[in-house]
Amino acid sequence: MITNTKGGAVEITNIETIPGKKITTHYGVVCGSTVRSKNAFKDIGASFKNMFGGELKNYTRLLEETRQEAISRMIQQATALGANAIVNVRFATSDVAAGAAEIYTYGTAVRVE
Amino acid sequence: MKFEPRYCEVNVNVPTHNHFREFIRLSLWLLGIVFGVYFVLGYAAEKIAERMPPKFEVAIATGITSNFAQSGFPRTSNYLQKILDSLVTPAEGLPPFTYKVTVDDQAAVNAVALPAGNIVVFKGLLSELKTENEVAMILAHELGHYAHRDHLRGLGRGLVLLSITALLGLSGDLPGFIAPSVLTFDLKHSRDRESAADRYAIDLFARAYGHAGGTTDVFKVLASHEGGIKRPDIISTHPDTLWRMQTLASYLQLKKYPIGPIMPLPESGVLPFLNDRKGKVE
Repeated sequence: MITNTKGGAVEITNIETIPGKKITTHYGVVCGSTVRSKNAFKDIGASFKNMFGGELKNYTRLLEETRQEAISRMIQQATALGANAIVNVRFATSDVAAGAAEIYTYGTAVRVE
Repeated sequence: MKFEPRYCEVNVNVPTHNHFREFIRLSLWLLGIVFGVYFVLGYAAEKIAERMPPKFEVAIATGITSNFAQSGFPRTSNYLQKILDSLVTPAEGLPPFTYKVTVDDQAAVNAVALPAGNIVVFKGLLSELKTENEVAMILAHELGHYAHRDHLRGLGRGLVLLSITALLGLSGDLPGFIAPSVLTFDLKHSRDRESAADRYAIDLFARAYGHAGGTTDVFKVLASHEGGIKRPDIISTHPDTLWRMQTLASYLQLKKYPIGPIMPLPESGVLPFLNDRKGKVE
């Protein structure tokens, strides 16, 4: 996955190398995290949906936006360190409070050539 | 590959926004939503009140009237009922209910018109009344609220919930948080509606008794009870009593009703009648 940022393109992968490129510098671990809560009004909609079954699109969208935010923060950290790629990217999640969850993503910031 | 550990000076994962400003913003949002819901429910209550069929009203009445104990003053209740019946016959624009009046053993100087024709007069008000004219005027005023459908509007937002519970076929018990709003039922009425009910009461009294004597006396009773303390009109739902008296005096002049006699109570003393309590001798 290649994401463009202000610092240029940052390549993100969950394997240890970027195929066809050589890692020249290793800057350490970078991470991005965000905690989001559910929206009470969307909860009402979801409870209706529960009666009939099907995809809870509001929650899908919420979690997707949350993941993107976490990735974006991780990339900001990486570019601040001077990296142009992040390898070994992983995602984690944890419940912080009722109806609120953290999405945490982390990886190794590297420079590739 | 070389290892160059570096650390970010700015942690992007910790937002640097102003928490106080955020709190204020969210509080304002919440207030907005609460007011929005409040006004929407109020509007819905008005619309329901205008269109509610009498049968449906009887269904929701059960839950409200159960909050008021059965009258412990049988002779007084019978007397009030007799006057009420004599007023209902010539009344115009009343919904087709069986109108009943009960005495509630509370010190409040008040009477309320509950749904489906159930009028409750509090002992505190009864004990202030000295003539039949005053009693009839109080009952006629409450009938005015029925004629103008104020008794439902008075329920306000609780009515919406009551209607929903009645529609769902749930028990008629009033939800706990609505009960207080029903007990201070009259506070929900706007001043315009009170004035309209006053005028209706004078007209009805004149039709029933052939004159309008003693109709404003009841406001003297209320004024004396207020003890001369005048609340600002803006926070008072019942119009200022003295203003009500003046308004009705000019209304009486306009209508040119004859001024007839003051009718005494059937028994000496004040209401409720002496020794009129079930199982008790006072």
